[in-house]
Amino acid sequence: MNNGTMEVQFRHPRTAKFLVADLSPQCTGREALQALMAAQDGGEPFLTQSDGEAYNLIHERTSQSITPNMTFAQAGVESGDIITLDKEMRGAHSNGVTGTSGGVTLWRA
Amino acid sequence: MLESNNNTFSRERLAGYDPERINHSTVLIAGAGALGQNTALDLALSGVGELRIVDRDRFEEHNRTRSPAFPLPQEQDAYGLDKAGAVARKLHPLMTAPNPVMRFANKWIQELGDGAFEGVTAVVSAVDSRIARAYLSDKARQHGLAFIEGGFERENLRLTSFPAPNGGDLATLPCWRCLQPNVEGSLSCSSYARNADAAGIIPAIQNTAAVLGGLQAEAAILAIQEELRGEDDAKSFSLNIRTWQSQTVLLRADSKCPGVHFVSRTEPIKLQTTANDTVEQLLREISEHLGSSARLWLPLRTYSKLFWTAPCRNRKCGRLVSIRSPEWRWLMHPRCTKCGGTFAPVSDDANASTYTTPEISLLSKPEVLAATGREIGFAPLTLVGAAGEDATTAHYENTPPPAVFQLPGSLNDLFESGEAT
Repeated sequence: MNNGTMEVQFRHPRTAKFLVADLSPQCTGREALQALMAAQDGGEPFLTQSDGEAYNLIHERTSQSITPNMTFAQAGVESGDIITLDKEMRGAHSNGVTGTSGGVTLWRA
Repeated sequence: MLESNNNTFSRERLAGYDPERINHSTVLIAGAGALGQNTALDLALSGVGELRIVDRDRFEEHNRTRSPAFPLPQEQDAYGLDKAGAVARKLHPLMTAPNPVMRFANKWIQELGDGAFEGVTAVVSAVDSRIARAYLSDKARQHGLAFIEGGFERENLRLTSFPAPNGGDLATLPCWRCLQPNVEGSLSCSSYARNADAAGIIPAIQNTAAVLGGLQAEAAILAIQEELRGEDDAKSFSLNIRTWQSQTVLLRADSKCPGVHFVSRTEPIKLQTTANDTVEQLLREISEHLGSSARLWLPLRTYSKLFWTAPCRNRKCGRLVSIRSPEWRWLMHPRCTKCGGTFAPVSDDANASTYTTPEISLLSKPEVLAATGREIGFAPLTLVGAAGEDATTAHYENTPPPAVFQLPGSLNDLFESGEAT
């Protein structure tokens, strides 16, 4: 820990990659996700987010969720801990919604 | 021919099930796609007494590979291809409860209002719309029900289970929206739509749906027989069915969660005004009960604001569009009625020609007062929160409304019978 920060490893949701970051314990789940979207890993964003896609943060040592407005200190995160990024999944069910423009189907969900 | 008898549930009894309680329970299943069907199939066989299946979608050929209730060609004339109706009729004969009841609605879950949750023990979410999931989460909590949510992609699945609140500090009990506070990105704009289309829809296989369906069904049984559950914690469970890697996570509440964190235990006052009557008639009857000019809180916090008019955001169009709909319904079709183009949802009232409101009173626009309850999102049996004109409680606070009224109606107004003919 340097200057009140702690070293945390973020595990990518799809690959085995880790991103090591120095974080303030006052950093919230939402702020961490925003930082991960902006973070670069070999010239590529570490994490991308298509519109409508969401991630959850999981504190591996305690197997507990870190919510968007919870600070890492409140979540009990300590230096050296691993945080897994967990991609949200859906019911794989179409809700019968179709978007069209000028007679052209734009999207289905 | 074998007949059902006391031996029907003999194996389930040995496994700890209480068939009498399960036979008298009701489970609401939103979504009749791959996941909803697998869950409904398991609950039908497990002896759940009443199933309510809700889905607005229709079957397509590609659904066949992960649809245990896909209607056979010779059944399609009788059952139709609407998912909810066809699934209900296919699964009704498989229900093992002594007097099974199967109901269905080929509608969006929000269209049914509160009546859909009456008498329900557990709410199962098998939908992909995040707006619908937020709605289900809020309604389950408001009605004090267990909420079981599932999602899958390829060989990965996740089950999230929120037990029915049993006292304690409700603010600290996590809900689905504690994890997903922002759901507007779903189904709300053309950029998401294009991404979804480009992504080729969600990759889905039957084996994952079947495993997750079993997990969801068992979670619903645990909601019916709480003593089997062990603890009251909200949890999520993830599994990769190829590698068998799994993870269980304890969920926690978010201090700024926008979701409902109260259980409404106020006995509603029954109204005479129906969903087909005008908003003005509804307001006048409620005002009589309150002894004061009533302000109606629109029925829930989840995208229930009334959207009346808004300008099209397409720069080439820009015309004022008549929406006349609750926000959730409009978000399903955020489309300009003039140019046909999609446009971003209106989230503020910056434009003077935009008219959205979270409450209605006799001072509302005359055309709002002349609209029917159905037009603004009130179904039969819907609960309507109201306050007198001098009430100081603000809208969208995380508290129940001061007074609750219920529109008349019956479940038959909301659901059709799924008994196979």
